[in-house]
Amino acid sequence: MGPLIGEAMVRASVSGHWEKLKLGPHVDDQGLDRLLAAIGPGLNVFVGRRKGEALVVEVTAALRASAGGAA
Amino acid sequence: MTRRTVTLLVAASLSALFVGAVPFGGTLLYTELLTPKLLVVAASLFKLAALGAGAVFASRCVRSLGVDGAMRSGWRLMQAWFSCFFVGQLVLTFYEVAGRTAPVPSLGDPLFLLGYIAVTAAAVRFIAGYRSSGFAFGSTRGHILAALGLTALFAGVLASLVGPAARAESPLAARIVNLGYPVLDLVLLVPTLVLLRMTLALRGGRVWGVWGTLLVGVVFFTAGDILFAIPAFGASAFGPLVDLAFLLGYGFAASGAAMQSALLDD
Repeated sequence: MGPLIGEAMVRASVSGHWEKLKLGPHVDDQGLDRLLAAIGPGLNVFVGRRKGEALVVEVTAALRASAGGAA
Repeated sequence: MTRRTVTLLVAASLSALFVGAVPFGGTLLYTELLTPKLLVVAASLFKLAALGAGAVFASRCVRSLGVDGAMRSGWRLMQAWFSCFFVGQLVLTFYEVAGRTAPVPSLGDPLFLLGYIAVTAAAVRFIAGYRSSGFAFGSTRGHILAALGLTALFAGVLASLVGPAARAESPLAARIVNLGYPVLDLVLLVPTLVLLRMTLALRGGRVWGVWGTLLVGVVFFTAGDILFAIPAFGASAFGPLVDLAFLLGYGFAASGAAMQSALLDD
């Protein structure tokens, strides 16, 4: 997401939604889905629904793969 | 070569050409080769090309965004702005090519007026779109305070600009036109600068490039229009700088629309 909306905005938005959704320090798959569902519509505003949704799918897959690899 | 590089190269070339006319206006280059008449006609054609391209790219953005929402309606209004200004500029170009002075008001003025309403409404819709994203663009209170501060500042600027024009010995219709444009420019600048302030939060990303380019274009065009309204400035040796501000304004705005269209369709 950084190359599209800038690293600072990614950090600020993730942190803002994290607080709003009251996610704890360790987020599970369900929490991750809620977080990305909150960020997704914002991406759609700037890059369009098609690209925004594709990006959310890509980020979800990358995070799950990374969590799976760590396990 | 990226679209951004091309935009900057064109902007740099135009700046060199028109800024050069200020100190070197009396040299052979500007009296024999790049004559004032040639520069005026070339500038008019460039403005038409930029406004026409802006209308096409804005309509592509509307189509690509698909679903209804603040950003889609904002781009539809941008399309209306570019289109109205294109037709208005066509009227002015006719007079410039014919070597005649356009009457005030001219047939182009109602179109410019509609264009101003469209672009101001577009800026307001884009602010609503930004806010609907849920991204961290700062507090609503901060944006309202910024808007109020800008309004107060511009009211002061307006009073100093409007005073001499209001007292001018010219027909009522001409006075309304001469006063109307600076007022509309300053009204447009308030939401544009608030939007630019919000856009700063996107620095470093491709979206920043799109919106920074588009909004800087609107700022240049309003600056050109305000300078044009100051008779002592437009008629002086600094006249080419007024033309340059319009060229950069329309050029950057069209380029921003093209970048947004590419971002949506890539």
